[in-house]
Amino acid sequence: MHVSLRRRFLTVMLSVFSMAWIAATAGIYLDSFHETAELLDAELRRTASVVMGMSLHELEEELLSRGTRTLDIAGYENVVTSAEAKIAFQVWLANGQLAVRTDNAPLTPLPSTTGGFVDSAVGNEYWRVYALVDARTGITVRVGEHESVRHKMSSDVAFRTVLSLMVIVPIIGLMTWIGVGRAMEPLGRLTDQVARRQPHDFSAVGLKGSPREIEPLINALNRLFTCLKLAFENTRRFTADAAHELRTPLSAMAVQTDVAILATDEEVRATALNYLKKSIRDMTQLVHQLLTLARWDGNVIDLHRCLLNLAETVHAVVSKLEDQARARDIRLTVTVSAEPLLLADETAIHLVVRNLLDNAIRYTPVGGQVSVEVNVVAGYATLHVADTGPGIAPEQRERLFQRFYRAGRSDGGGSGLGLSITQRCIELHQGTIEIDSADGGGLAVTVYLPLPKTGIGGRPSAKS
Amino acid sequence: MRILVVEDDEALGNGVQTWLRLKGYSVDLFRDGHAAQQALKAVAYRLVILDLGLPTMDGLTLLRWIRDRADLTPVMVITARDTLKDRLRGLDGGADDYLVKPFEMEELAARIRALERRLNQRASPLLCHGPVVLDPAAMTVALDGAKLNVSRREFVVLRELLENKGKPVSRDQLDHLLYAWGEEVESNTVSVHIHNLRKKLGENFIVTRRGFGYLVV
Repeated sequence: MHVSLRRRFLTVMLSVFSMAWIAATAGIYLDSFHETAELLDAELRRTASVVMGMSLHELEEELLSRGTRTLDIAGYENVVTSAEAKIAFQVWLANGQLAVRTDNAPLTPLPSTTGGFVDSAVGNEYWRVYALVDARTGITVRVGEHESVRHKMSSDVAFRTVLSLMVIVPIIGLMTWIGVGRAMEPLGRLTDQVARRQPHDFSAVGLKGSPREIEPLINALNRLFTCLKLAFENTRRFTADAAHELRTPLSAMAVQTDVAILATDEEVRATALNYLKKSIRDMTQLVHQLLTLARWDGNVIDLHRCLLNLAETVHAVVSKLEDQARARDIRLTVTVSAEPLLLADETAIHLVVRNLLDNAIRYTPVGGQVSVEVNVVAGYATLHVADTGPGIAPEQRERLFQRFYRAGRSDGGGSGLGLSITQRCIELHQGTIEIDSADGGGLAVTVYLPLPKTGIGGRPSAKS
Repeated sequence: MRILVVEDDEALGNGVQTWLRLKGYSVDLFRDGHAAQQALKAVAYRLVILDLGLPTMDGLTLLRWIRDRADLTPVMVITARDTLKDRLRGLDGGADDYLVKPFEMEELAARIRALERRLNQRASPLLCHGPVVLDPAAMTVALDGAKLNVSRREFVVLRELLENKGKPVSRDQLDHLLYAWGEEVESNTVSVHIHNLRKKLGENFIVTRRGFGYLVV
């Protein structure tokens, strides 16, 4: 489920706003209710005064003309029509006679206290009543108002406020939607840029005036592109080199096949077939090494580490290469100063030892010497291979590890991949390889492989 | 026609050398630039076939060295490097032709014949002299329009003479060409082939110039 930032932002905005809105509405409602009540109360008080004034004037005349303090005319009841339907009043004489009332006022006295407001129920109607008593004549004016009316007025005020807010909410929502969209626009443009690019285009992406929030993403993308570019170029160079290396043995095979077909002389044909066989062997080795590199080049590495006695591996390799050394009259000596136990991939370490010894034998002139020493130095198992060959100039040593580089010694055969593979295998075991001059000018290669940290280190060996 | 092949890969160099020898060319093979330099100083080659990826001395360096000596010998570069940049560098570096590995020997041979034609300023791919027509590509000889049966050795000798029309070709040069068949080069081997050719083409077709060799005029 993908979350829309725009929707999420809008939701947050609107919910926050709605909560504020509800709180504001409630506040406004209560406030306007209170304000309205005060206004209405003032009106009630004023009405009471006016009614009292008029009543005193009218009733006094009536009472004076009769010379009595009571108005005891049966049925004397003056009913006036209330000008304002919401307000009702009663005028009571001191003897408890109802002198005047509005048509919406009850016949019974509206409950009241003198000179104050009372909320009370008459029948099923709720009234707010204000009463005023004239001390001289004993006339009481009671002015009342239906609570429902008061509520309605307060509600009306609150409702109008809320209504205006309700119009504003969608406007705010719309503006938020547009605003967030605008803010997201650079992201969209960045997406377009990345989506439109060719698979092998590793140039940096960039936005003019990109927001600060997107900058880290752009930087991260560009860093990734740089890494990809390097990796891609490495692969391409390697493929090109590999193709280049395969072309020569392929040509040789083609040519020697042609020669074998063309030759009438048995000896010429036999020579051609022998070269053909040699080329096939070279090519097989090259393909094998390319596959080895491809397997160990990736990031996902399939190392099968197990306990390995380096000295035993060296002995195993030496026994295989003895014939090759003897054929070239090269003396091969092994010194085991310690017997380090490694936690390593047997195939890889075997390959390292074989490549180094094979190189040494290959490049050492007939009658020379190759010496191997296994030792333990400061937490590392060491393998030291020295020969009496021509050695390699210091300025050329760096290039030794380049793929297909042969240090100008193509006559010795080999694909130029051996040392690359060796180095990769050593790297995979967190080891290092050093190249130096041997005593007497030959090449000396030392490999350092870390011993396992569990305490199963090397033990001194008696044999050498 | 004597060709110098400079190629460090033993199997490829040997193959090219043997194949060209079987086709009747005299071929010297060297595996590094320094040895090739010595050979170029001593022998007048008609063509150099040069691999660019050589040990110790790069092929392009050798090519520059050849051109710096004002040596106009055609140079055909054979290399595994096939990008446009590489080809341009080779041709602009003084090469006359450029062949990318792996190549077919038939193509190499056709390009050699083309270089030969240009070298001898010949428009026709056929070598003609009087009633004799030699087709170097098909390795056939015709006399008065009729196909003539000649042995491979006789063909090689005749082609060399026709390529050098009017100029004497020494017995040594011809010996060198025949060397490819691994036969014992006896002093009279060339004489035998000349004798046979004269029998087939007429006594006066090949002239002997004492002390210089043979020629057709």
